[in-house]
Parts: sequence; structure tokens; C-alpha cells
Amino acid sequence: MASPTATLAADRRAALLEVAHPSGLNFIHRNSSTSQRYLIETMGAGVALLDYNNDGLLDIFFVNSGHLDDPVKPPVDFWRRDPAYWNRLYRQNRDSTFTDVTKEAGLSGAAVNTYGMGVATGDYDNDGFTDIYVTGFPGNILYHNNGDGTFADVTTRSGVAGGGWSASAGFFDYDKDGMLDLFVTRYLAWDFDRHQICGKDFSFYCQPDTYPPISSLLYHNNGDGTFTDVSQKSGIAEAKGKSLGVTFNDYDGDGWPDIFVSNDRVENFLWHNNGDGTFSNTAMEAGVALSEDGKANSGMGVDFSDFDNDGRPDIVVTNLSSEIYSLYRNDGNGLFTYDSLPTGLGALTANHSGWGVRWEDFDNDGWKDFFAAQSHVQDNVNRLDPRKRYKEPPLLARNVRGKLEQVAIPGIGPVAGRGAAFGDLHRDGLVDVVMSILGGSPVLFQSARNGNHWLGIDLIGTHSNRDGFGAKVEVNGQWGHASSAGSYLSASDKRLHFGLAEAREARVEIHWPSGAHQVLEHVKADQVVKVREP
Amino acid sequence: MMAVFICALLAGQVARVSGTNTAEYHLKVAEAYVQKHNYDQAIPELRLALKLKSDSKKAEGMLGEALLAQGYIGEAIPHLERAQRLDLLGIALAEDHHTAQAIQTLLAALAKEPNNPDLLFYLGKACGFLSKSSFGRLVDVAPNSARAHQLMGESYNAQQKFDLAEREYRKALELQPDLHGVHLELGRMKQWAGDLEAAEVEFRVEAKLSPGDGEVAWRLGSVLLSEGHTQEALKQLQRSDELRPEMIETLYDLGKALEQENQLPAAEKAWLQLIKLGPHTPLAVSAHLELSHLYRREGRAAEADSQLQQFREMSKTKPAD
Repeated sequence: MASPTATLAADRRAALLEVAHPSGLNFIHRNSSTSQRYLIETMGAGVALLDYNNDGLLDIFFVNSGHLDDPVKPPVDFWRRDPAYWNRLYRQNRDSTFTDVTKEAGLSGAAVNTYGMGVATGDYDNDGFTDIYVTGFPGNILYHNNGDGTFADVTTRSGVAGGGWSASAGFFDYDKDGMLDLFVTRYLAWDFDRHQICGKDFSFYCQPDTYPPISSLLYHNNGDGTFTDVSQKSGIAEAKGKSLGVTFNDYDGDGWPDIFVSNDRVENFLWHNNGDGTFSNTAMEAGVALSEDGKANSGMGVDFSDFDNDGRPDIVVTNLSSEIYSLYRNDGNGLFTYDSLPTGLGALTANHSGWGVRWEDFDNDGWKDFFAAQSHVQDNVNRLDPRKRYKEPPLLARNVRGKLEQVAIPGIGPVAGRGAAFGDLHRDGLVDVVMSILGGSPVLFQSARNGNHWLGIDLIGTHSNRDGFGAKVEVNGQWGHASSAGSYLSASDKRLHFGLAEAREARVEIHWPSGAHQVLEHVKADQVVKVREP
Repeated sequence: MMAVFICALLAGQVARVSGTNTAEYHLKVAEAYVQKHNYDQAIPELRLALKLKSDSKKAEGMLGEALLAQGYIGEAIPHLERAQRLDLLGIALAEDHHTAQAIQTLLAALAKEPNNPDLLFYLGKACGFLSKSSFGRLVDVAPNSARAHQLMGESYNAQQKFDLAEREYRKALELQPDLHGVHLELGRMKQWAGDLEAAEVEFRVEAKLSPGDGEVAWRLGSVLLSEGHTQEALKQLQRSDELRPEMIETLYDLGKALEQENQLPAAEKAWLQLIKLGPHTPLAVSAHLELSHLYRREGRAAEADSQLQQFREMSKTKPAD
């Protein structure tokens, strides 16, 4: 008979995720690589998991990029009306197959001629249906969910078209007025006229240092279907960055949602919410602006959640190879400690480049595990450094009480991973992952079954925003923050998921953005419980 | 025009020298030519000066300089030797491939002028030549020796041909398992490639071979720290610090390990010592940032701000625009 220690070791070696091949999912991302090496070619694109028709099944939305002439000549046309370049919405059927509903949902083509990048999801008008915001170059699109399986492009009316090169975006309620506001990162002050070709013996994608920085955008939801650009008024526009990732959480426990923005070779931003409609960048003082040795890394994907179950949200940022990924542990006093090395994340990422990222409890043992989509940004990086590889398998690591142990994912080889969205696609109590691939077909990973218990929480805000974004939820000593934002260019299921290990019931405590406090005792495990704000 | 100018110059200078067939006269004329880099015209004047006054060190030196400038290196050397012009003699010896003698002479000259770019250049060149010829001889006389394979490994390593480098290093170790420095290089290669476990293995072997080597202890401690093995890293880093207390790389990592072990006063001490030893180094920049975080954690806000300010000034990073 195996000893308990041996059994535990065997459990740790067991696969957490495996590749799935669901029928009907035939999306191909098209980025149109050119000899010009336009930087936008290598940066996209995102993916979202959402239940757009409220049938209880998660659906998948893929952002497509577009066609690029080689070289691009004005007038620029990304061929987004050609079906090969459409964004795609796949509805999940009861039998776990998918049906492409892009056309009937009114999402075919792109309302404006944009090269697609990212996606954000949220019910901005509190009508109970999840809306979709798509970012790109040189503008963005807001699709209102009509509630009948169709969407309407309301970009112009809503006033959130933005401009320039937008990357990750997210909905959150920064002023706690019950309406979701919108934060949009912008990467570089770049356009085709400013494009440069870099490299002497051979060309490569220019470093971000080649182009000027640009500020991100914050839109306040007016509650009437329109938004107001408050980037200046809020202080967000004061800092110009090269922003790629955004995530929200209340890092100092003052009840106001803060914003973390990853920047590419520029200091990261931690926008502290002052509670009066303004924000202050506290990243440097808090210790999350730079790497431990003071370097501005190539920050891309982000997550802002409590990986060590101490009740305080921590921050993780994926970077390029040689930089290791940055893990900032929240010390609880408004300060963070750089913790990549003690947790083992540094050793696992010493020569890897990461994009979409998230902590999720894939084995429901009560500890959030780590997943990152990986690949270098340069498709010829081995010519620059023979030790580096362009395509990489994703990184999956089990969280063993705050220490990370890598776990192999069977059936996946090196790919050009970019976005990653997370949610329980199969309604089996296990979190799955959809990873977008640059210029290729996405990969779906499903969690491997085990005997642990779980609990899903679907928040329905009444005084707070209907999605309950910003709510702080404690389940049996674990903490979650309601949000669909984070990762890279992607949006995850808005529902919260908790692994309960052997527990068959849970105590659930919810701190709603409105200030309401709700406690649910003896909640039965292994279900998604809908919780309406009192 | 130039000829007219030189004539006028000579007329003015020579007028102050009594007699036209003295050593002083020819020396003055030559000096004017040398100033104008007209070495071919200076050389006959200097020869005349030496004929008239054979013990003139100045004439010897100038003649050596002029001959060297014209490329007559072999002829320049005895004049420079007699004039005891160590700087030019070192350069001439290096150019004439008397490498060992050149290195000795250049080092002596650099002791007087440590920042002379010409001397630094020629010292580097001479050392490079010496190393090349030594290595060439090594490969010629003992092509299958451990050292020859080690050398080939280093050559491939420098060319970023890492697979070939490792193959050569392994051959060297097969021939001489206790060869110093090979495991260190293998470890460094593995560390750069991100294979920390393999790097650790190599550094451990090297540490057994060279227990008194502070750098090896630092490398091992550093990779252990990167792997998250903080306590063991701390032991190695403390050992490195004992062996080489002036090594700032050790002090930086030692501070990190101590901070992770929550030994904040000791971490502070390590980083302050680093800044003291290498105040203008990149590691000092990082140490200022580390100290600012440490002081903020301890509630020492003013000191934290001061360290952050120094980090900003030294790293030339600005707060976001």
C-alpha cells in the first residue's frame, strides 16, 4: 500500500489540464505577418468566455485581427468585411459542441475598420445581458447585447471609440454608482506613418522604446447608455505608459477598486482609487512598478488575486524571457514584496515569455494554481539569441501552499500563445481555459476530474452593478474579487469559482460594492449558487 | 602655404639658438617638425643631434617616437629603451610582437598613467595576442588534452554555439574530472539558458572542487536564491561573503536572501556595504531601490524617499510622464 506521502506526490504529478477538441470550434486568428514587421502583427489577439444568452452555458468570443498589405498603403483596409477576418462568437450547445453564431448575432465584420486586439465583457446597462467591448487599432467597438441573441454596435452613441492603439480593457465600477465604467489600456503612440523597420542583417519587430508612450483611457458610465471620457479629470491621463494589461482589485482594503496596469519597458502603474473620482499612481512606493533589481520589464499579462489565501490581493505580471515573471505579494499595509523567487515562479519562468495569465484553482484543492500562455514576441528570436524559442507550451503550475510546482499539460506542444480566458465550460465544477494563438487556431484546455468539491458564485447586484464587479467574496477562508478583467487582451467568466477540497459545504461572505454585507451559511458544495444582493 | 608657415616658424625658433651646427639647434628644428607630425623631416635632424651629442636622452626619445610613427619599429625600440620612454617602448614592443616584454613595459607605464587610452589599448592588444598564441600552441602541442577541450568550449561559448561548447567542456571533464572552472562555465551557460536546476548541479560540483572560491559560492548561492531555496542560498552567500568580503555581487544577493528571511537589519547592512564598496555600479542602483522598499516596510518613510530619490537619480528613470 502506498504511503500517504507517496500518494500526495502522485497526486501532484497528475495532470491538471488536458487538451480538448470540441466540435464546431473552427476559429483561426489572422494577423497577416508582413516583411515590414508591423508591431501590431505580433501582439494579438484576445478571447472571452461569457454566457451571452443566459442559458447557463459559457460561450466563446474570439477577436480577429485583420489583413495587412505588404507594405500597407493608404487608405488602410484590414478586410474586416471578409468572413476570414471576422471576430467570432461561438454559442455552446447542451452537448458541449459549439455553433458559430457570429452572423446571426450581428457581430460579422467590424463596424469600423479596425485591426482587432482585445475584448472586455460586462453588463454596462444592467439589463442582465453581458455586453462586449472590442479593442484594436485605430479604435474600439462597443456591442450592446440586445437580450435576444443579437448585438448592436453602439460605439458612436456610447462615446467609447477611443483612438490610437488600444490593448486590454476592463469594466469596473470605480465610483460605486452601480454602473460599470470602462478602462482601456493603450500601448504605443504608433500608426503606419510612424512605423520603422528595425534590424540590420535581418529585421525584427521594433522594441517599444522605438515609439512614444501614450496614456490610457477611463470612461465614466453616465447611466443612460453613454460614457464620458474622464481620463484627464481622474488623473489617469497624467501618466503615459506602454500599457498592455489591466486588472482591478482593492489592494489596500479601503473599499474602493484600484487599477493595476502592466507596461512594456516602462514602470507599471498602480492607480490607487482616492474615492473622489480621482486616482494616484502609487506603484513605485508600493513596490510594484519595477522588477526587484529596479528594471522596467516587458509587462504584458496581469492578474490581481489572492494566490496565498491571506485575504490580500497579490499581483502577477508576465514578462519576456530573461526577465522572469513578476509576483508581488501584498503585505497588507499598502506595500508589496517581490516574491517571484521564494514562490518558485522565478525558476519556472527564467527563460520564458508570458502573455495571458491567471490564478485559478484547477484541481479544487483550495489553492489557486497558475496558468500562463507563452511565446516570445519575436518570431525569429532564436536568431537574436539561440537560447530562446519563439513558440512555447503554456506554463501550468500547481500551487502547493504558496509554492509553485510545474505540471505538464499532455497533448500541447510549442505554440504562439497570447490571450487566455478562464471559466467552467463544461459545468462540471472544474475551470477550463481557452488560449488564443497568434495566427492560428485556439486551444481549449479542460481540467482533469478529481474528487474535490467546489462552489461557483454568480452575483446579481441590485444596488451595486448587476454583475457585482468589485464585490469581495470569502469562501471557507479563500478570497475572490468579482471581475471579468485581467489576463491579456481577454475576458474571463464573471462568475467566481472556489475549490473546496474535501468540504461539502461552505460559508460564503460577500462585501458588495454598495457596502452591503451578506453571509450565507451551510451552502451546499458542487453547485453554482446565484446570490442576489440584499 | 604650409612650407611658408614652417619656414617662418623655424626662423623664429632657430633665431633663439646660437649656432646652426649644434645638437641643440638640430633638436629644436626636429622638435618643430615633430610638433607638426613631419616625422620624415624630423628624423635626419635628430640623427644629426645624436651624432653631435650621443647621450641626449631627449633626442633618443624623439627619434624613437618619430621612427615609431613612421613604422620603423625595430629601429625605434633601442632609441626608446635608451630614452626610457616606457609608454612608447611598450607600444613599439607590442607592435613588434615582443608580447611578454610589451605587457611588462605597458603595465609599468600604466602605473604612471592609468587612464592613458593608447596604453590601455595596446595592453589589451598585447594580452589578446599572447592569449591567442598560447592557446594556438596549446592546441598544436596537446590537441586532445583536457585544457584544449576546455579552450574549445570557451571559444564556442563566446560564439554562442552552446551545444558545441557543452560537448567540448564535457570532453575536458572526461579527461580530467577535477579540472577547475569547467563546471563553473557549464553552470553559467545553464543559468543563462534558464535551466536553473542544471546550473545548480554544475555549481555544486565546482564548489566541491574549489571550496575556497568566493565567486563559485556566490554563483551557487545566486542560483539557489533564484530557485526559491532561500535558506540554503543564504548559507552559500554568507560563505562567499566571508571568502571575498569586497564582492558586491554577493552583497546584493545576500541582502535579498536576508530580506526574504525577514532579517531586515542584516539585509540593510549588506546593501549599505555594497553601496559603500561600489557606489557608482549598477548594483548600487538596485541596492538603493531595495533599501527604499525595506525602509518603507519598516515605516522609515523619509529614508525610503531618500533612497528612492537616489535610485531615480542614478538610474535616470523618471516617474511616469
